[in-house]
Amino acid sequence: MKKVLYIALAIALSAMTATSCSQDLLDIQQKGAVSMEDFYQTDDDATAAIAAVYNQVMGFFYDYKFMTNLPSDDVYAGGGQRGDNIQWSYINEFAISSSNLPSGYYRTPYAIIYRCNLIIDKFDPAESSIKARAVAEARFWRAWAHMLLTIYFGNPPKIDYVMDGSERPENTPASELWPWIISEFDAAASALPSKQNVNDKAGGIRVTREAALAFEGKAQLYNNDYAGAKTNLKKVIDSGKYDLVPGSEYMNLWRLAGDLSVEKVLEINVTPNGTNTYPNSMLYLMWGWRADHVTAMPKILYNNSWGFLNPTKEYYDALKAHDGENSIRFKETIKTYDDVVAMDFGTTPDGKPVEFHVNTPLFGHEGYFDMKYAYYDDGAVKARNGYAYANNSILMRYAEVLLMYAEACAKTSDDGSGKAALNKVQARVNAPLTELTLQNVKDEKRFELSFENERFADLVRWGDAATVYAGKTRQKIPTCTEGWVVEWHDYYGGAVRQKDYDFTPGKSEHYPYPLSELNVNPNIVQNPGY
Amino acid sequence: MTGKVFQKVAVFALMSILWLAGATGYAQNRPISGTVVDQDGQPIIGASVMVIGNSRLGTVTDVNGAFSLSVPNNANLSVSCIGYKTETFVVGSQSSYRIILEEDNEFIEETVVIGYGVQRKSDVTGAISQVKAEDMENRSTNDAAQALQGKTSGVQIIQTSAAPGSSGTIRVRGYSSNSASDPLIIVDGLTVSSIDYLDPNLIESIEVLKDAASAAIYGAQAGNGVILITTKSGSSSRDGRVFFDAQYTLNSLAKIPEVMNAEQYVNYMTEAGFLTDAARALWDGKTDTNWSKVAFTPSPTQRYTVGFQGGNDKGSLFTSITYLDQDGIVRGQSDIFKRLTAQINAEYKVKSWLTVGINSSFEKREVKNVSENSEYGSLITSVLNLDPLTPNVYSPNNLPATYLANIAKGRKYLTDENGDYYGISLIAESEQTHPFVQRDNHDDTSNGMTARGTLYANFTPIKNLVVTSRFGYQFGFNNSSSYSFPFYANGQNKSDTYSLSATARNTLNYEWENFANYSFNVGKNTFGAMIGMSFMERSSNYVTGSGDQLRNYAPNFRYLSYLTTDCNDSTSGVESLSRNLAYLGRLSWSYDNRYNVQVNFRADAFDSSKLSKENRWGYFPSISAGWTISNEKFAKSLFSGAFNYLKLRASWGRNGNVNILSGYPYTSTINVGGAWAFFDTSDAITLGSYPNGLANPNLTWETSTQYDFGIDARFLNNRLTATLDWYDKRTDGLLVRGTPVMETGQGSVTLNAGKVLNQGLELELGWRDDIGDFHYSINGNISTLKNRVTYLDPSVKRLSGTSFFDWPITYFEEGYPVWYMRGYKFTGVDKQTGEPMFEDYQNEAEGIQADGVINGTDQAFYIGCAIPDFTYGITLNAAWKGFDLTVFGTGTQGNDIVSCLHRVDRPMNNNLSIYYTDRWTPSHTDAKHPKAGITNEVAYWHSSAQVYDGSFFKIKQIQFGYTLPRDISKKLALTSARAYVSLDDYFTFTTYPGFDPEASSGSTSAMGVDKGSFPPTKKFVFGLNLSF
Repeated sequence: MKKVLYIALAIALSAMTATSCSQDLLDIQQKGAVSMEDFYQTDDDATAAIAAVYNQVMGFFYDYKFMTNLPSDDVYAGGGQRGDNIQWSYINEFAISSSNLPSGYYRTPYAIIYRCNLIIDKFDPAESSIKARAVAEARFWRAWAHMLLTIYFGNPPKIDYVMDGSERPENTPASELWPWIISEFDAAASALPSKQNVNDKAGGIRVTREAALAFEGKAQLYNNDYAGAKTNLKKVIDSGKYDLVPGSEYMNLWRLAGDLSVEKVLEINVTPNGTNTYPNSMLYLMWGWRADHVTAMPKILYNNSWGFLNPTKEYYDALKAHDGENSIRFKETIKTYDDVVAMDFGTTPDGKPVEFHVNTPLFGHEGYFDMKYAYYDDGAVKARNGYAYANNSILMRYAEVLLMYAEACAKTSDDGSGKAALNKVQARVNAPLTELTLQNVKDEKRFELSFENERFADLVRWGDAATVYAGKTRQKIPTCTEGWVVEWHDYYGGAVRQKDYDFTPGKSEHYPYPLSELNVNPNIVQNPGY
Repeated sequence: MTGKVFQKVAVFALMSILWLAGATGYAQNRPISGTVVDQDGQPIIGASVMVIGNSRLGTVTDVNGAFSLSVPNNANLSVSCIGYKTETFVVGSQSSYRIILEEDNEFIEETVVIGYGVQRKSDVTGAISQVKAEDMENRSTNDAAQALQGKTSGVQIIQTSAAPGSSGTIRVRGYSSNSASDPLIIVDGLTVSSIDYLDPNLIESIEVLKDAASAAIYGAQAGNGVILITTKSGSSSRDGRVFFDAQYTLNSLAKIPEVMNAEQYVNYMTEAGFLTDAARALWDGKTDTNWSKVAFTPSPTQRYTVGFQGGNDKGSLFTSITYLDQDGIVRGQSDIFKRLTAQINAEYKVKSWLTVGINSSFEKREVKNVSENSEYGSLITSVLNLDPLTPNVYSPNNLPATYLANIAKGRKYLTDENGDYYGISLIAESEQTHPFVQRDNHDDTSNGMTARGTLYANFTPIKNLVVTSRFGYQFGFNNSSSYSFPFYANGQNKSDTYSLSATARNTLNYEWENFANYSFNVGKNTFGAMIGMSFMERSSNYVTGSGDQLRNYAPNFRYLSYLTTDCNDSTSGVESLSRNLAYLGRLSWSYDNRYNVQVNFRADAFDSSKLSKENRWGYFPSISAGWTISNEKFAKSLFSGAFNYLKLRASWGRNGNVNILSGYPYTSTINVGGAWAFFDTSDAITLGSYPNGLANPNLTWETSTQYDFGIDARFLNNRLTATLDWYDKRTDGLLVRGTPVMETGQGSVTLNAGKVLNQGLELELGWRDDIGDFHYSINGNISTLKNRVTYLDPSVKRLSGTSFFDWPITYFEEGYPVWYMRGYKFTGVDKQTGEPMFEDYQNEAEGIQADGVINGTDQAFYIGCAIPDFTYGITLNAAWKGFDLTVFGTGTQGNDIVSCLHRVDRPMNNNLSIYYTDRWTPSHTDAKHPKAGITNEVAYWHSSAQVYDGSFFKIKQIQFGYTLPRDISKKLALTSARAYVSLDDYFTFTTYPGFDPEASSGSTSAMGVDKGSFPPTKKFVFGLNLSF
């Protein structure tokens, strides 16, 4: 029986031994990760950290384009039918509420800010030029994200440090934000390398000193500091490192062929590589023409897109009146139904040309087709469900710099260079040259930068929104059927809608803070009217 | 309890048959007679008296314990009865005998399985429910969890889907966490994550450790209760037995929600202004498709078991093989469940001091499922959403223009086996298309094998000391593949590309547990002690690959090997590993069957993937005590006759929960290369790195503290049994994956941030009696539940759970039940306008005034909760001669369901017909539902108007069986033969207008959210139980 006792003891002993070493077995290293402490050290870490910022901006581009362009008076939020991505219709109709605003509009800029703050906090710019550049770029992007938040939300909290989870920041008044944003752009500009020369392609895809100055000037316009804007924008122009592409290459600006061109002040470089261009290509997929409601797509366009951005007839008429029929903008950036029918759709197997018909009504559509953000076949990399698109994501091009400069001059004084800047933009597209007046700059900017993020923000900044939107109700939404038959639909059962819609002065200038943010941060005061 | 009655009935029936057989007798024998009594001199009814060596000679005692029998001279007789030790005697010269049978304490003293040991039922001080094999046998469900439903109090089974191969979710005593409140499940000593592999017929007993004191021996994992399952062993049958069970089930759709027919649809949509003349012209005026008839058809399930059972005083063996083949009710072979299960349970006493054993199960399964539970297109939801104007199919020579136009573009519509085109709505474009497009637009398979089990050795080096070393293992592999191809239904439901992905996954878990039990008596005191340790490791590894171009798209090329070299492909795979170490102990004391006290303790540590080194250890104590008043001398006079037994129990204990903890949540690490940018004008990628989440170094366990007070009582000669428990369970330090304020720029952070209270009463009542040959029993249970979130960190305020499209429905918030439903509050239909009316939200504390406008801020009302006020179950068993009947039903009361079958942005989708039949019209102003085409659609479809009472009572089983008389079965060389028919899940009583009130999108934050789960079917079952 003793033997049995020994066996039992042996088991007990081995159990104890096993457990004493298993204490160490509880330490399991995490896979595919390094600790916070081990990162933010080397030059390589700095490059990886700033690359993650650009990646976040790239990921934000899709939301950025919707949030900046859908409130514009020049577009309808289209889609398949009423209710298809209703939040975009609501934005377009100024019926958006705190609960259905896509929260990414507010959240993602702060995600960019967080990654920037980490870089600014963890790296010492004095240690190497790579770290210095990363820190300067981080300051630029942090200011850029704050600028966007300030324009669209009014008084977002300023976050210039790495926050911990327990804080509940309060709103920061715009009057405090703008000077800080401007000074941050300024600090970034002084620390960043310059674009090398006009043909320096890489100088358009990472922030340079000139890009920072251009954005500083833009921020100064928002801060009503026209003299400051004029100074900084003039530095950009005088640097000689940018130019407008010729009119013959105008449409390439929004196509693969225009990537890295002399006109790009800042664009996010996108190179298709399997899965990695999703956010960018989703935008084109969404904004391109509604392919499944028509019998065929022009040969130059990719045969799959969803039609969520459609120009209004009012815009088309205004462009025609402003530019005249010889302007490249008029001829190229927008197509009528008749223009489309005349496009090349290829041929059927028996050699006849394929005909274009609308087989399902195009929603939110008055019969005008945008060509800037059409989904071009040459940029579409036909892989991964067509979700790869090669076009770079433009954040600023030189035409905007020229027009901002013209505006600053119109607001202050002009030595002729303001008018020259305005005329340079006009001449390139064969539009009539005009005198430098504030109204002429405003009109020029509407047509030159249509669907390029500025229209709504400019109207608010100029104080013109209430007047402009007064005559433009979204009570009824058009659909376009075969042969340019436009029907107007009231989607609310014939009754006048009782809920808030259409531009409401004092409210619609800003988005509401998202409900999901208000739920967790009681210190945020909701914008008026929401 | 029920089980014992059944056993006795069965024995009695068998013995009666024997007696009949024996009565024919043999002329040359001489008659004897006698009585069989117990130690107190009371007659024993139904004891068998048999001649050893000639089993045809025998009888059973009558109601007076008397027997008479003709036997050869000097015959050896054995007298046996269940519950007593068998006596033998030799027939001498006398003709009358009085035989005293001694009670078999081992049998009488029913035991329950507790953690790391067993306990006499009479010594139990915690709240432990026991469900025996008899309660689960011959059910048509193939899932052990569902077999538990309604059988015991304090346990709720949530059925998130009734698709073939799906399993129920078990909740013990409420919902103590915002995360999954899954109990710890242990099968024959092995911790498993699910029991869907276990055929209910293999289970000997299930013990549910409900209170914290009972569960505390499992410490950190036991915060949501513990389910202990013991599978069948060979020792219960004295003679070898071969058995064969067969079951054939016909499944059919139990409840078809009524949706609008063509006429109603046209009227409704026209009134709403949605149906344009152009759209209306697309309808032929006749078509009225019933999509549920298109999608569903009755289908069979077959299940066969062959088993062997035997044993002697040295060892025992139970082994069985079960084959299951289920075809779900969706037409075609796209929803199937095939499972082959083998079980080997064996034990052998190698030495007087050493017993070794094995419990092993092997499972091979193949599952195919159709899509369900999604507002973004699923087969199940499409049945409700499709307009009835669209025909089931179009013949190829009569296709609408839209089809022809798309075909001309090279788009491929799906067709049925006859080459007819599935009907796609030309009126309402949505992700919901023809159910068979949803079924046929991809080909997914998954199959694998798992082996699980334990090997153990029990040493008994000295008397009363048992040292157990137990090695548990689980290993398995699974291969799955998913293939999709270009097809076109409409703009919302189409694919332009091919894609093939395949995954191979291996899992290997093992655990080693060593523990020693020692007990000794001092006078009337019995002391027990247990000490032990446990170590577990779980690991899995997978490799997955995918690509978008194959060399050939024929079925025999759909493997990763045949991807083209230049296709877009990707691979991934990583090992995951977790470990757990624990020390545990128990002390128990009982005195004179009157007082019982038990103390448990466990110290648990998890690995660094869950908690930091500083916070990894958790300590979980408990104490419980029982007082059997009826055994007190002073009470003896009270406890006789009508009132037989009374015991009071009380317990306190503490447990943990680590369900939500995984992936190093306490730390923030750098996601290396998780982002990319293009800093170069060439195609070169610059990899970016950024932190994952927000660190919380203080993260620790979720802890539950629970009090339990219980009463066990028996009345009326033990025929009526009652158990009543009241508990109060408070969970603290809830692990909340909070959304930090957006300004942090971070997606989520894990916090210990909340408290939840669960309180309830549980009552189990049992009654059993015989009326002549008629034996019956009724068992019922009812559990109430009060659930509240009592605290949530202000930094979290309100956790948002499940959303329906753009409507976040469920929330977790202080002062409300877990995951309550929140939205606009519908107050009725305006009689004048037919518009829905809503309450204007105001909250002084939040500074929100009633503003007269119904907008986003008014989406803030409590509008429902999926947690029932009470759940209940009732089982009736009856037997008469060879016939037996089981009726079993279960239900819930007071739970809400939010119907998510209508997306506000898809107004042209079909809907439940109640929205038509009871809508406001100028002539029907007293309507429950508003007019068609309302102004504030968003508020209405996101309001309490979509919340319905989900209470139901369902008769889960009506089983009628007949056991062949022994003399007939014997002629067929069978020891027993039983045939039965059963109606399972046949009758459901509810007012819910959707598919089935039991079906819900999920068991945690999606509880009570109905997005169209695979509906439970009603079953007609035929079965056969044979043993040789």
